[in-house]
Amino acid sequence: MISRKMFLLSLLITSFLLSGCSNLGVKAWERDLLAKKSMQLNAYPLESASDDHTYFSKEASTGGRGFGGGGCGCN
Amino acid sequence: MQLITQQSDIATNKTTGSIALLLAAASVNLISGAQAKDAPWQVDSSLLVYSESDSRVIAVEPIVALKKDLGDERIFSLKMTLDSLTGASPNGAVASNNPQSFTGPSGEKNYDAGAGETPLDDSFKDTRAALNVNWEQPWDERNKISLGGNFSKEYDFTSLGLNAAIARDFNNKNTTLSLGVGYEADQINPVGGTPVEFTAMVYGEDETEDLKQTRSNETKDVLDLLLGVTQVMSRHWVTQVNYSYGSSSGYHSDPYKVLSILDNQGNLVNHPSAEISNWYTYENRPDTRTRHSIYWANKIHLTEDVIDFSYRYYTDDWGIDSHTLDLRYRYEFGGNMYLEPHLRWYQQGAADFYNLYLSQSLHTSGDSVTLDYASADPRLAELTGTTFGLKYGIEFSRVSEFNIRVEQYSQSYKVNSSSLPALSGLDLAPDMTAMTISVGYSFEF
Repeated sequence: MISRKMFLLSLLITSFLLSGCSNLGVKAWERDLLAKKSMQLNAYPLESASDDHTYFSKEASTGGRGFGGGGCGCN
Repeated sequence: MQLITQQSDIATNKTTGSIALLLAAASVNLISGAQAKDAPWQVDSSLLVYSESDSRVIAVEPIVALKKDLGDERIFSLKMTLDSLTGASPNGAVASNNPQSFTGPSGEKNYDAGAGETPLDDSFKDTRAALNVNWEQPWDERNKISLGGNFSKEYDFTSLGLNAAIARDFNNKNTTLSLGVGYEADQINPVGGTPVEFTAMVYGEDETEDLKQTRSNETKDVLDLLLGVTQVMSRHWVTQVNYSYGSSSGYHSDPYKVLSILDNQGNLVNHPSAEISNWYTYENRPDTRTRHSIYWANKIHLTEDVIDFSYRYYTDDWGIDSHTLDLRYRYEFGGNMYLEPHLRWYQQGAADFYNLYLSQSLHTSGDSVTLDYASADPRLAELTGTTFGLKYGIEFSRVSEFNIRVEQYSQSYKVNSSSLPALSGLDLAPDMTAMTISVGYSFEF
């Protein structure tokens, strides 16, 4: 029940962002800051993979940014 | 990808004239030519040391990743991880005012807990080796696909996984929609065999090989789906929302963890069978697990500095709900150096079948546990985790950097005591604190 609501909520957010946000954003020549390494959403993939692995081993939650990091026998 | 877009937009703008057109064409040729012939390998490496207080787990994890653009944005990457673990972990039994003895997984090496001490299983030393490979390429002007595989091996666990994703741009590349799927097959081969759930742990002098009931190897399959939207909000702000779904089926229990069975005073009880003294039962978790999460991430560029803020909500059908807040502030202080404090706050609810211990009168009948499932694994308890960290980095170029970070992580548990007389004054779930130091170096060759 909660999970179906969450899935529908994310679909709603997605369609809102796709259709309602066509006036949001930047022109091609305004991407100077966005191109910087510090502005990439996952600028330090090794660090985030290590941290995700630590938290996955010590907590009950997983997921978020992405997947495909490989399993381990820790949880 | 964004910079190349900028150049091609200039090239197609007819009012800038033929000089710009020629320059753009030349630079595109130069770049694509150089990439096709001798594009560099990008190397990213890190070494992490993780250490828990009170002689618990110590982990050392070196990672090396290689990446190369083989031309036309077809990118191959490879990552090798080594993870060496030693130390002790709570085995799920509660502390007692009397010393306790437990049998190690193979039956020979026993371990003890003193009076008032949390029982820790120190018998595990394990090294994990993992390999990830990934291939990414544009499908057409607006779409990009990626395919990946991962393999992981440790003494008692083997895992093989595949994943695929597609990303599509909209609104002048201001919006990107991503869809990913991953499948993983795990094989679990516990040291000493897989104990049958809810059977009693045999220990010490009572030990005869026959008494531990075991099964052969176990397996688990995991399916993951991800739906994500990345949106450029302004020149200074990019945001991402991901919905993840996970479904796993197979063996989920921890073969090395038990629960204490206590009487109404809080004392350990004898197993009804004459051959076993203190009754500790191996845990039992469901055969399936379904998970959902929503993750929202942001990068905000101030005048010089960058704020990284994310939130994740997670829920699963084991009854666990959690919230994660993560905040970093990257302070640029010249000379291409930065300092980045980090704060993470995590809060989770307990699994439906989590119990600190079991009661002989409430949860057993004769020599059987009457519950469907039970686990005393602290990782399934109601807990709060807090991380404080600081990272220092120096960027030699856009592709070369050295950084070092120190983090402290501490967990505290909501339920950590009992009103039962024999357990009064005992901390049944002591806080856990861990320090992490990690060093990273990336370069091109």
